[in-house]
Amino acid sequence: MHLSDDEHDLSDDSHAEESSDDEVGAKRKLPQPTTPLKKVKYENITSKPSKKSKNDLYKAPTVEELNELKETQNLYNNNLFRLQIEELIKEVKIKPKHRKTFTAWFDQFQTLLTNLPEYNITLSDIKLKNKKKETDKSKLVNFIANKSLECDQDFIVKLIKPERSEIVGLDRVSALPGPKLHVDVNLKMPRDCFNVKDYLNNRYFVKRYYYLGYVFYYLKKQDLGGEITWCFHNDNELLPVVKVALGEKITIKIFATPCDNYFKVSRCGADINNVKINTFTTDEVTESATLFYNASLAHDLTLTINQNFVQESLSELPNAQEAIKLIYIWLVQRGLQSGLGAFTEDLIVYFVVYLVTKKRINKHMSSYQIIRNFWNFITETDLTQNPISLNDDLKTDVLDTFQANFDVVFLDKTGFYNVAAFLDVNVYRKIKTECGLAFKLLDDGGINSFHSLFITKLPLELQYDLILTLKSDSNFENILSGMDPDVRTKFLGFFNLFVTKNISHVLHRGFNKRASLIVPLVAENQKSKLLFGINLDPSDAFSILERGPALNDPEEKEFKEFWGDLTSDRRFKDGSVCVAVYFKTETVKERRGIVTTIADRVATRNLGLQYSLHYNDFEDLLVNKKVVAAYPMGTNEECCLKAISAGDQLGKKLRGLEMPLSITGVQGISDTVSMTEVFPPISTNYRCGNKITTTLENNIIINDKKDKVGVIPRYIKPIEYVLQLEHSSKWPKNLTTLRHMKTAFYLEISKLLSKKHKLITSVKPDHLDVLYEGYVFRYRLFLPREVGLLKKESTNNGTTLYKDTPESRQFEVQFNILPKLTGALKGLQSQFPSFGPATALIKRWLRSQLIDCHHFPDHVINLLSASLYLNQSAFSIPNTPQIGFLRFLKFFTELQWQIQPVVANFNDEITKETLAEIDSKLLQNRDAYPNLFVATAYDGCESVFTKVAPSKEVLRRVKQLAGETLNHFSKIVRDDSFISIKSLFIPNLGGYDVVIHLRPLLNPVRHEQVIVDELEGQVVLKAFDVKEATKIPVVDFNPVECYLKELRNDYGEFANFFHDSYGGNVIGVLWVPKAVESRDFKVCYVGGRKLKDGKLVLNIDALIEDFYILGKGLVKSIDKIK
Amino acid sequence: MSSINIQGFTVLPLYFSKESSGYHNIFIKEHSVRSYDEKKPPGKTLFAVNIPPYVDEDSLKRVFSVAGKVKSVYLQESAVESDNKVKSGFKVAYIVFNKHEELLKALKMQELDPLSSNENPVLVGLSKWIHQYNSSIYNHEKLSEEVNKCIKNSDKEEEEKKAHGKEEVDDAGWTVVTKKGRNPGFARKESVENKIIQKNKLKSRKKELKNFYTFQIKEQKMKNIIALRKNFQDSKEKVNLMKKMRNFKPF
Repeated sequence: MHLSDDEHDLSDDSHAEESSDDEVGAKRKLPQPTTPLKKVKYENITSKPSKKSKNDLYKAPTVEELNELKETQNLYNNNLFRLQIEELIKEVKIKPKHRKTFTAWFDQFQTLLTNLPEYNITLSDIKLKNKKKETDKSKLVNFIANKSLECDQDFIVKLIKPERSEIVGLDRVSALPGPKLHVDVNLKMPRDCFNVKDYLNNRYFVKRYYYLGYVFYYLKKQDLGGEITWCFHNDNELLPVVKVALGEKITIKIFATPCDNYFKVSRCGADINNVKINTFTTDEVTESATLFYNASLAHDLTLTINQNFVQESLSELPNAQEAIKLIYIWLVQRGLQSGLGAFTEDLIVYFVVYLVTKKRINKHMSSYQIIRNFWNFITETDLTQNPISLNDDLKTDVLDTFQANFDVVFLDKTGFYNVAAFLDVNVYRKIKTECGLAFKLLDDGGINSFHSLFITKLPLELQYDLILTLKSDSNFENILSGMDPDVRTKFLGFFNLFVTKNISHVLHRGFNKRASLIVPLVAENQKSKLLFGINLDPSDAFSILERGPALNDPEEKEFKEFWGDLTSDRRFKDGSVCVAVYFKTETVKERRGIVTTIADRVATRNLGLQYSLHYNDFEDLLVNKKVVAAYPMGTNEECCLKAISAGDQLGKKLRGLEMPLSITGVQGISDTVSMTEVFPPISTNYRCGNKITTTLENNIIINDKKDKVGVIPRYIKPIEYVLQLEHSSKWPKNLTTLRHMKTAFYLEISKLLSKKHKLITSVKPDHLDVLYEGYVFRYRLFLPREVGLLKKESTNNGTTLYKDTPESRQFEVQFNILPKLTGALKGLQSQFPSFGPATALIKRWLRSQLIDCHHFPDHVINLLSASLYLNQSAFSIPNTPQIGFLRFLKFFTELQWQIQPVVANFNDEITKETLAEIDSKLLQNRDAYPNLFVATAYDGCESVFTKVAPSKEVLRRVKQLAGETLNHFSKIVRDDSFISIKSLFIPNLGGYDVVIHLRPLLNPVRHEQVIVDELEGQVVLKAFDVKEATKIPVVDFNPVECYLKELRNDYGEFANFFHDSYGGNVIGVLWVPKAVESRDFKVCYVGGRKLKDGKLVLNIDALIEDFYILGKGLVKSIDKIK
Repeated sequence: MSSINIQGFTVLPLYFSKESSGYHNIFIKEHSVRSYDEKKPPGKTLFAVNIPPYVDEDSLKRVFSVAGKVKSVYLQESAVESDNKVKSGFKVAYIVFNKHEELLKALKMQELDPLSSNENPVLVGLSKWIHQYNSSIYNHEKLSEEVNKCIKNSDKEEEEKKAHGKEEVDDAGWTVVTKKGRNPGFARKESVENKIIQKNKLKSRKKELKNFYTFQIKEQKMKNIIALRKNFQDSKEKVNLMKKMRNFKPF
């Protein structure tokens, strides 16, 4: 049952949980358990805590409890989700303290309103004046005067007490998520303030502004506390509001709207012109409808009606209110709710209300079901095609007019206000995609779905494949200048909307099918700077051809104009002749570069703007700058592909050999095969220079006859494969003989290969090296029997046991698990081409922070990266290496390895039951499992790859580093800071106790270093030539790795060693804190220590001397820092 | 240098070479244990601890031969362990002399010669790794010969065993059951045994009636509820854990 022994050693926390369990139980008013007295007594003696949980589990259920349990099953995803929602709602509750403060303020505000002095001022008198004697009136006038507001006539501005004030917005329907309190207060301007035609020519807005200014002035004068400023409602410049901030936690926005039923809402229709005389700019206006002016007006006219309607619909639905909170939080985390054109909080409310009126939300639904419905509704409907309305009696032609004029149409209760008027169509599309993702995440997100949905902040640089920043010193004057008068009238007062729309259009034109989303990042917009986030469509994004219209087509001219000198006329296979743009590319990296070319062209040529682009900033770090192959080579893909095809050819040859037992399987286990290698081997010729190297048998070896070796040849990484033979039962039953047999097989293969295919090979007792096409392939035989022999043990009564030993486990990993895993990763790579380079980038970054394979194995990185591609996350699948890398960083900063297993579920082979089992296993006995638990189907969900490393310390450090790197990148994207991306890949040597400097020339991977000077000392390798291939090069020989291995073996208990595997010439050493402590004399503690005052202390000087001795020849100098 | 003593150990500095600046203190005393080991005879064996990792048997032999002829040297990871695993880190050493007097002389030593000298260098660092790499290359013919010899030897052994195993009845009249023969026994493997146990369990379970008595039905319902509750409690625990990590602050 529930009470296993490990439950007894309850820590303090679980005690707390127990008691909280009891509390909940009490709240549910459960009857006290009625177990026999005797039993209770007995258990009282034995174990107290277990008694409780046992009783809790076994007591008779009440109806309420049963209902609740059932409800969780039916109404929520699962227990966890429900509890998490409850927890979140608790967290965003607004404190009563803040409410009290607000109520006090509001009362004062009411008295202030009733005591307002009243004035009548002519509009033309509202100017800044310098009078010596200032009356109250002139002070007020001086305070509120605003030159930029213009109107067509002079009238009397009546500043009188408001008719009434009311609370509007989210808080009114108690749907506001805290912890901060935002309240919107609406003041109704009395009838006397207005004239009949005030909706025309900005008159209303002028009056509104002065009215609010008047309230502002007296708020300030009476000093009700708080900081009072102006701001715009949803960044709409026609709708300024007064913002009062009472401390950090409370903000109040004061609106002013006309009294009810004074103006006709029908004046705000989508086909009506309300500005006859241009009061915004000096240009002429036409008769066409002033869409956005009308929408702003309509907002004010309908505010009370709509708010009342909203309250009426939602007041009985506490779960809907909760759902609105959740949706709001979800939007805020994605940064989609602010800015002009964003999906505002009002829109959330209207959508939920719409669902309520359409009976798609009822009061029996849980908040979970409501958000589900909300997301589903937005994903399924398309308001650009099928407009909706809260007013059921609307005539279809009204809807049609709105649809003809606005992108997205969602009419309010009155039927004249398009609540989605300002919603940018591209933002709307983004919202639709996000809703789809959220919906999917609910269903298959696993235990983290809640977090990815509501808790994690998703910065924009992680949401989009590329971020394009467009800058204009003239505030985009060049785009506005070509405006049609009709369009100008339409956008009157909102020219920035036009700029955004226009640029989006041109970008769409340029990217065409390549982009799935082009979203203006309205929250980031500034006068002279616009940001666009673009998501690519993986199927078309990197196509090398942009096919235009056929020759002599009317659109031909336009296409040619757009693309300029990039176009050419081409004949296609189907016989048609078209204008097209062909992008010449040789590598995958260049193909990704097509997007950059297009962005550059569109931004500079077609839009005439300055720009900066964040898209492939990191790819440079994957380019091997110092060693260049004879074939075109960009990031790691080309070299990997070439190596894989050579490997496949050789594999075919191997399978064709006539052997006593034929070879049935050739499976790769190197990272090169799954394309996750940072610097894959390059095919070339290997010559033996007489000075450094000499030859022995089939191999080139290092010349050790010389006194001193000054240079080590370039590191050649063997590409490793595992061979499988056809089944046979005749293998020896003894391990040594079996291994000898394996060697005999290697020798046989070697003989046949050299005889039949004239290949150069080299056999060592445990593997076979083959030189083929300029690569060294390393083969090992897998005999299942060997695992058995390694595991075999026998018990006292003669039964044979098979038990895991460290050796057998390692053997199984290498020969059984890795081939399958590598195959799966290869499959993933072909499905998502960015996987390989993204993983390579992660490796490059991690290693550059001096965390090498010993601390964080390559396979673990592969698996973590794969898990990001396999699991449903809050993002779509990354299309570029960069975004894959950045999302890994984000994933790692959010990762809670203590409670969260990482699952790389290839082909969905792990069932949901197994996953749940892993979860509960981890929960119950965390310490029994690796620090980082990575489950795959191939290792039976045992997390074999993380058994030894990474340690908790390394995990924490990586988490920190990942967070910092992300922050830094985010700064680069936002502020255009001049700190280079490369600096993120240069380690800080500050914290180490000792730093060992190595001789660069003895580092065989020195060319892989992250460097600044790029072209100096570039080596171009010759293409592979069969005639010159006579010897196998020095393979897999890296003195630096040998040195590190010895250091870790011999001194691992005293110090940790950190090194950049990609060309690092320094080793950072940190003493293990426990080893530095002094100890009493005992034989087992003597190692590495010396006597000081009768105690044993670490002999640091001798140890540093030892580091010299072990690395004799390789070490240049050692700095002791502390 | 005056010798320091602690718990019967004498402390000696050990330099790697003449040029070395740092040194390790090695602690030596006479080897004394209750159990007798032929290899490490009492009275002739010197016990040394804190032997640096790069020291091998030969160099240690040389360093201590100042006191007299060293018969053999054993390096171990600790005093307890003595199997043939790959040794790493600081070690303990047993230095066996021919005579008791030599041991006494060794115990009185004040200093040791450096480990590595020009005449007898200890191979470390780059030259060691290069040497290792170069000597890892095999001549195919020689390797083949060696391997074949080994295989032949073990084949022979195997055959002998087989011949031996044919005596199925021993002196006391017991018959050894093998997998072959007219009446073969099952393989005595754990997995096989487990399988048989499982099979028997399944058989007995099949005979059982599940929905026969009312208490069984009741119990089943109860079990259902318990499962639900347990699930609920697990989730709650988890949420509590998350809460502790301040996990529910959205802003």
